[in-house]
Amino acid sequence: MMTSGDCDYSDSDTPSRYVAGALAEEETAAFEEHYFACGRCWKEVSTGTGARTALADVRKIPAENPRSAWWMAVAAAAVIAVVGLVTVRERSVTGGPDVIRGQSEESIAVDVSTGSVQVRVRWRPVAQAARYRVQVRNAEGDVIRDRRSEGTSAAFDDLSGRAVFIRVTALDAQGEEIARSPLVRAPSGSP
Amino acid sequence: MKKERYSAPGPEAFAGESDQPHQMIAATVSDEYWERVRLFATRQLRDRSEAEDVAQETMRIVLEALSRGTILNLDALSGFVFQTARHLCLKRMRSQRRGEAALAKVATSDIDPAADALASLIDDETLQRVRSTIAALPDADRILLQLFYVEGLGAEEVGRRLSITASAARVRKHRLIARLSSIERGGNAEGEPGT
Repeated sequence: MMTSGDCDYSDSDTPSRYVAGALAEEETAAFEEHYFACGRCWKEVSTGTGARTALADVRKIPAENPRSAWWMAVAAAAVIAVVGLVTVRERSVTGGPDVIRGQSEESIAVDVSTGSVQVRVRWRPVAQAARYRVQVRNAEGDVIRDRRSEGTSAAFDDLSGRAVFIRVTALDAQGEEIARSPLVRAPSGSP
Repeated sequence: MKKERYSAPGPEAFAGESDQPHQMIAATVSDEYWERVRLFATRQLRDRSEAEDVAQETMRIVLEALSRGTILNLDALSGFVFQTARHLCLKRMRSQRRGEAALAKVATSDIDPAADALASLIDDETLQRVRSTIAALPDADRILLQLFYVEGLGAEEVGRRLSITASAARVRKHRLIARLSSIERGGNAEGEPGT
């Protein structure tokens, strides 16, 4: 077995490029024969393959960080508040429906409307979603409602008149997050 | 779907119970090469169960060659194992009439290590530990792993994107790999080995 001092690839990017499938054919064949004899390169290939697999999942599920989530909620609330003001302004002019539309990068489109007694949330179905999680946060970013639904709508009582923000998350059959909406502010209730 | 953990077969799979020296050689060869052959064969064949078969067959042929004294120079053992595994993979690709398509895939190195077959090489528990560790990494470290092992970029480019030197990118990569390797072997997130 080769020692690390004999390794031609000790300071090269070949092992990680092999894991990524980025090597040319000749390089691949030569490196494959090499890692059968080199413990150091084999360790990088083996662990790098695991890391690559795990990264594919991690990319789908952002790390939970309560502090950053709180700041994100506040930041999102600030942005949405501005959008909300503009929307309310437009509504007073157009008299359109009491709805704010949100669209996340993962394409969950959410409609939130406020009636006299209920805040109603509707969303477009997401392919491969087994169920949805609907969270309602207050202006401080705290979760005040947390509901699961297999349908594409949910209604919450006793929220009218409060500044609340809604997020819908699509979950697969294993309960893993596959898409989410942005935080969408519920419009204030109809006068 | 629950993934089973596949581990190297014990020496009894390759040698008679009364043959103690042969068992020791079998155990050593299996420990050293089983996972290598399995990963290599999985990349070639894109099929975990076929890769398991190739690994078994490779071990059998290598141990028979050792017991017959065909392999005189043990420094050449790794090359012999590799060539045997490679030959068996090619044979399977041809015999299953996947020949041209599969060989073309290999020839163009159109290999996707994230394919299901490769993902299945890692058992669920280990994958969960690695996943949790990666999720808890600072963004810069996670991006660095992504650039190296998913994008396949070189250290110069990774360093440029992260505003660090190429050598610093390599050092961080090696530290992260050492840490993840420790996690895979049951150690903790700080890279301390498991018991």
